[in-house]
Amino acid sequence: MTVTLQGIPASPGVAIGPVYIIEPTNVTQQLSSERSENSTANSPEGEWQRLSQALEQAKEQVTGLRDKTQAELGPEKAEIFASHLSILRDPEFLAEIRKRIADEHKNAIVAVKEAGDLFIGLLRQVQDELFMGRIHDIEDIVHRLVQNLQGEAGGNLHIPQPSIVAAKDLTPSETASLDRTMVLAFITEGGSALSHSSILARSLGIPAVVGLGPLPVLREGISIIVDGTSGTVIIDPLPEILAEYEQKRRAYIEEQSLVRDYAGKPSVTKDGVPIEIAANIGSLQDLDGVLTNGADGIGLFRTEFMFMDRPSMPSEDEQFEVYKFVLQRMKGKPVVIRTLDVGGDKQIPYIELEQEANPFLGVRAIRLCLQKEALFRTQIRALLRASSFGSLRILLPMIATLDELRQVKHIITQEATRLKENNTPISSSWELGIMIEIPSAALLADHFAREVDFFSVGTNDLTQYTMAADRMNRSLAYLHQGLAPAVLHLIEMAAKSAKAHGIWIGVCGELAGDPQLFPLFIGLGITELSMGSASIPRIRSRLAHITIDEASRWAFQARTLESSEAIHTYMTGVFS
Amino acid sequence: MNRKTYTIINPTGFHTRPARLFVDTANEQFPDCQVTVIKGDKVINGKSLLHMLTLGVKYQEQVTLEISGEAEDKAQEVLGAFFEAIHHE
Repeated sequence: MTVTLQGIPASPGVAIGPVYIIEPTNVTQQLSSERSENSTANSPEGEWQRLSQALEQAKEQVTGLRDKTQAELGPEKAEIFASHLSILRDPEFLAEIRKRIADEHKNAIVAVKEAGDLFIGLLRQVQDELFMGRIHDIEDIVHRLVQNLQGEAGGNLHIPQPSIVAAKDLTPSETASLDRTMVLAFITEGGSALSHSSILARSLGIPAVVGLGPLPVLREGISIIVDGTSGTVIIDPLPEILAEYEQKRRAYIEEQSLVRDYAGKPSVTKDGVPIEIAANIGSLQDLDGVLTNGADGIGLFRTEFMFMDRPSMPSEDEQFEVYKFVLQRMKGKPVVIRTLDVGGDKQIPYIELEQEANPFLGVRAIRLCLQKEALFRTQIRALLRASSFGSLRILLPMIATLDELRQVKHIITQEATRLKENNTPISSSWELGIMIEIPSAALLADHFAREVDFFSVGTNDLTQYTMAADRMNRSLAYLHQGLAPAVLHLIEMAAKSAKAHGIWIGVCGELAGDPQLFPLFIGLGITELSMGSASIPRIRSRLAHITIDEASRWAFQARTLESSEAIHTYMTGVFS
Repeated sequence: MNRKTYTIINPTGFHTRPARLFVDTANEQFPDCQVTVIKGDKVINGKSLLHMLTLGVKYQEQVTLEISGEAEDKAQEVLGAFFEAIHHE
């Protein structure tokens, strides 16, 4: 009978195959028999001797796993075993074990287990997922030591055929010692997206669903579908469901091969014109995706995360470290950093924001920064100091008038002069640009283009301000569908002005990564598209199929259309 | 003995990887130093990874590093740098 379960999607992809069940090795059960033997335990010296041997053995085993993982997956994935080695030498862990053996005359197994429990209890109190995830590592180490003390092999599991591996939980050691060629997917009752088996599954590209809760009794070899993208697990599926998922599996594999084929390729049109395909990021964690998907740069770095959820403003040094870190990791590829973009809809304890009736039409972004000048100057100084560590482009949000831009430029010049007086190196090639997100900026693009190095179009806000429609308001969603003709016209104006004055223009809103609509931007003369990094390979592959002439023709046609639906239909017709 | 206070700027806090590097460096390079880390009213052994993890140092929290023993100034400089850096995960 078919059973469908829902768990935590831990690693994307679809797998179909027979189940292979890993039975948990029951440490607790073994312990109870050891406890009863406790009266006949060796002398404390003998037990300590036994433990020392088990520790040495464990260090050897873990070193082996670390080297294997490092060779197969690289040093980052091997880090977990480096931390296991550190714990096996941990003076406080060893002191707790020794205390139990020497003072309390417990046998080595009980002493190890109790010392492990002590630290597990302390970690539980930290109440942070990242730290609590390490509980798993302590359990793994305790398990290994107990096995060694009992003289058990605890060796590799033998999986006879490619299978879906089902387990209560998988320790990092178990995961690392599995024969990867036989694992189609993992499913576990426990675990989180941050546990080691999940991380490993993601780096191996094996689908995984964790946190499923108690699994039903499974007959060995029964057929299972694992959808690691949605977190669905289907046991003993019906033929039509099987067919449906077989299709999903193929589609996913095709998508992945696209990523592999295009992640490292240059972004060029069919006729060889380079277009910069960059990534949007909102935190440092997003950088991993930027590198995996082979972005040509960062087209929008939202700096808000540094300012949120904290009692005081980030210092100049802290901001400098963050900007420098991103610039260095991008190794000379361009990084567009947008200055603080917040307003009355957000609560930031150290910035006094007045309650406003219309926060999206209120004191926000550059308007706020020009009112709270000290805060803005701090960010500008941190950016200028970081400029010598890579290719920096500073982007100003919500510019509506030339006067605002000139005020900002005056502030930047003052800060740059001061920094130079203190002999702080500043790059001579950093660029300054403005967001085109208020219709006024698009309409005055000709003036703005004389005073900046680039434009970046924020399609989401430009639509919101052009249509006078709050994009959070669901009943106005129809005004935010696709690319509105009015928005297209405004973008065209900005693009023409940019071209006339020899500056570049990019798009960093959601539409930049729209597989049907992006050619319109290319057709208008836009040379940079910035999007969520997962969209990059697809857009790059589609870019390779169009020529500039084609794109210009489509853009020319699209300008004559009356609605966003018509634009969408047209583009789907000519480019699908 | 020397003593200095740091604010953690690593966005995910001072967890396994930075803590492991800190502890291993303390043990390997400064075997003759006593390394103590203080957060609030908790005082722990900076040469124990389990102690460091149970301290649960998060983004924007302050920790004090106390070092005594041979080459304590050098140790303060080397180990303090771990608290001041951003660590790639």
